Amino acid sequence: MSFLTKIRRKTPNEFFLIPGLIGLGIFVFAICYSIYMSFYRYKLGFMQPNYVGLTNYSMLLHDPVFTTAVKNTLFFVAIASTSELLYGIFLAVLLYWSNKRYLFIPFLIVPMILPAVNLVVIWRFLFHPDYGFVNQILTSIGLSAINPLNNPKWAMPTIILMDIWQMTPFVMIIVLAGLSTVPPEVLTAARIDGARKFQLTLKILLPMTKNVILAVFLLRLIDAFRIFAKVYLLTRGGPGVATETIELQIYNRALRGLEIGLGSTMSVIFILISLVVIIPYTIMVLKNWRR
Amino acid sequence: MASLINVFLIVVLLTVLVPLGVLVMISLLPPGEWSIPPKSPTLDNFVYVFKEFRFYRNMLNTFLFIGLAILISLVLALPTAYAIARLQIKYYVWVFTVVLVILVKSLPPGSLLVPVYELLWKLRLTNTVLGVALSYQVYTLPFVIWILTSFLLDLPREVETAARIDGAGRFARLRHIIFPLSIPGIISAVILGFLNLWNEYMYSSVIVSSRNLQTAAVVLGQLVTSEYVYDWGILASANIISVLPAIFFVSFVQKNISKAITGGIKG
Amino acid sequence: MSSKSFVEIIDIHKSYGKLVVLEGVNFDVRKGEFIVILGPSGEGKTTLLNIIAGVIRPDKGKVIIDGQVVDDSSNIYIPPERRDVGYVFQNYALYPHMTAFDNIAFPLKMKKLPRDEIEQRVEKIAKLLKIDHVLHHKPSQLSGGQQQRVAVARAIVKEPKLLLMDEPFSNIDPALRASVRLELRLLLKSLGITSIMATHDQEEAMTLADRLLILRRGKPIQIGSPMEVYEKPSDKFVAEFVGGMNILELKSEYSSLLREYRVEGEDVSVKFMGFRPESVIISNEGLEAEVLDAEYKGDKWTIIAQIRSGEIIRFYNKDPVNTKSTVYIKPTKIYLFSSEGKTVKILTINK
Repeated sequence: MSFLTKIRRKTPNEFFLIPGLIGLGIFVFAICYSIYMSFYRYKLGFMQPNYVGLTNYSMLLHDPVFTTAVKNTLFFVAIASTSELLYGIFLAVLLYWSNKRYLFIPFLIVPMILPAVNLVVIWRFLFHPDYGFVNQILTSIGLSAINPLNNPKWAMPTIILMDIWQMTPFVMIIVLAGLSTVPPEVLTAARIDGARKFQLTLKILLPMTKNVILAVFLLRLIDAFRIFAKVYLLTRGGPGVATETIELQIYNRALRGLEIGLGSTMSVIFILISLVVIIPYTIMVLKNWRR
Repeated sequence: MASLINVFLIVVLLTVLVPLGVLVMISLLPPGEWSIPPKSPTLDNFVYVFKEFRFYRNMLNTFLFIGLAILISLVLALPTAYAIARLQIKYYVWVFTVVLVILVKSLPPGSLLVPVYELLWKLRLTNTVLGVALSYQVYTLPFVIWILTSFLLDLPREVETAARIDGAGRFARLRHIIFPLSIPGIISAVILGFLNLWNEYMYSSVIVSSRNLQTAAVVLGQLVTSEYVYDWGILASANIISVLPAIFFVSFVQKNISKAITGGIKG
Repeated sequence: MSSKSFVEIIDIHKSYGKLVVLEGVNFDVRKGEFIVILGPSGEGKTTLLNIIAGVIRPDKGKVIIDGQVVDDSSNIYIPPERRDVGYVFQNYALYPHMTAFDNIAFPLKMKKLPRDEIEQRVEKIAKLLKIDHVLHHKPSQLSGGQQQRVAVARAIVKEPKLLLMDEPFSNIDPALRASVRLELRLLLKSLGITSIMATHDQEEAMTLADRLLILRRGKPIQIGSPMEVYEKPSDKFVAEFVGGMNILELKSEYSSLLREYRVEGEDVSVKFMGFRPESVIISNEGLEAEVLDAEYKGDKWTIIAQIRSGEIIRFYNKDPVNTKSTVYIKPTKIYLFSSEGKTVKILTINK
């Protein structure tokens, strides 16, 4: 028996986890480092870290721009993911009952694969105040032109609309896959009992897909926290602070301003907020993966 | 009833296709014109984007960063996913690992930007290909572990048992059985990783500042955020060119795409 | 524990939570012997094979292969990859990404044999199993029978100490089963491979086994040659499961019948009596039965009849019998079972 074989046999199974754990460990270290740095004032390249206790936290909690960013983020996450879930389920059900679904699906999922930049180009052009497509139509039928991206009241709803346009297909395709796993015998049995399509959908199909729906909702919630590119490219947080988000704050104040201490504090707050959706998702995965 | 559903779906389809059509039509606009549909359509914008603007360099950068990032992730993820899905591991170690994977996968990347940037800055890796690929691990590493674990959990166990009987130890099984059988899972990890990162703006724009290493998304982002966009045609045609690889990827595996997406959802 | 035994299975226990799968399984296998584990589906056969292979570990007990303790359910555990056993799985578990050749060559590759020796041995075994013409095909391109042969070839190519097979014929076309079975037995005997096979099919078990191990609810209830098991079933379950015995609950109306067998006095513990379908003769006295149906079996007829107490019995006869007619039957051999089902006495009539 060669020396190498001996070593191989002795390695515990946990050894195989090491490559991934090292990689992930760096990010865990990064989180810990953020927590540590959140108690310091530290401008990268300009000054040494300087312990300030909870000053960063109290400063941010009294900072109107940052608290608005937190509110905006939560508003976006709640409204966008709920709308996408409901609209996505609706479209999935329509496709489920359509005999031509294979014609529709390839086109309906295109928005999902578009980069945010493409979306922003489309959206900025559609809503351009002077020559935008929407205004061309509005003025041609005698209505007054609109400029939602420059209107504090309408800027965030426009971003939400853009996100719905892009991410609903994701919900749709996964719910449709879930619906397709409902055994046909169950449907046939219910049909023989006289159920119509509408009742079948509400009473049988959707209840039997509820685990998939829950999973896709959690995934959408988690993903909705990552809207940086769309907001940054479309409105840069404006007009005013109407579309300011936590990600934008971290990007502009911490990275552009090199304020590592303050940025770390923002990161810690951001992580704490997102844990509200991450924890239930983690529990779900642990249950599903348990062997 | 069925035809009513189809009529409704056609309306939904229009809400998707009209904005896409608008993008195509913008790309055909000659400079200074902005009527939809264009009165005198031209392909000059595409020629400009390729010849003068040399946009393909940025696209190649993107390919390079993503390719390297996914390669690093795959190498690290395969043994880890194998151990999570198949090997007997102490329960608390298993839970710890899974929680870590899901936590890092689910954390908003923005929340890790500050420490990752600082770390790469201290290692003098900002503005390097390796630095970008390493920063992308925030996205790709937990994601690839997640996809591969879900895939391996679904793989029939008996094939691996057969390999044990045939005398294959853990290393041999990983190499001769698990790796070849995971290739469909690896392909979906590559495709989804690509689609996800092609979009990436935050890390790409922070880690890279030199013009010749910028990614396609960052260059386009700078064009679209400048206060006054004069050349909508050039912007749109550059966008269309940038999305072609993604479209190509998806149409290449169109049948498997929903399988790839849903493959990961079970976990 | 005889000195001749090659494999020893000692007091194996295994449960999953509250579900007890194996409860005190004991047996040994001699070198070159073909043992068949027979029992109803889902009553621990596969678990037992997996424990012998080392895929799962027992809660209690010992497994010894060729004098080496491979699992003592505590410190000693040799994993399957170092036990040198072959295993034919119920669904074959072929490697889908490899050709038939690579599938069969895999165990030899793992032994790091030189390339030309691997080729020689694979080709030799493929010829024996008549699959040498499909070696370059992937498993998905093979018929069910060819897949089974590849699985067998893969299991025996490394000349394992012990071959395990889990329902290897269940996915084979029933019409071909008998000939495949015979071929396999002849091959294993000629190679002298010690084998343990699990099946729920008693006919298959009877034709293949040197010795049978009857497993019920995780307990071994009888071990012996097919003839022993058939002639002297240890209990009512074995009698019914192997060879399909008619079992009747003893009632006073059978006393006249029993008197002929000279049973003196009534044994209180005797609760059931049984007789095999082939031991019945129609006569003009004995059990009265109304014929319900007759099935043609080629060389004989199976008669299905109802006796006065309402129980249904089956027996064979050379000629058909009209339905609804009444016959009197007499078994030439009667088995008596206690109320727990244990065989108490076997009575033969003197003609």
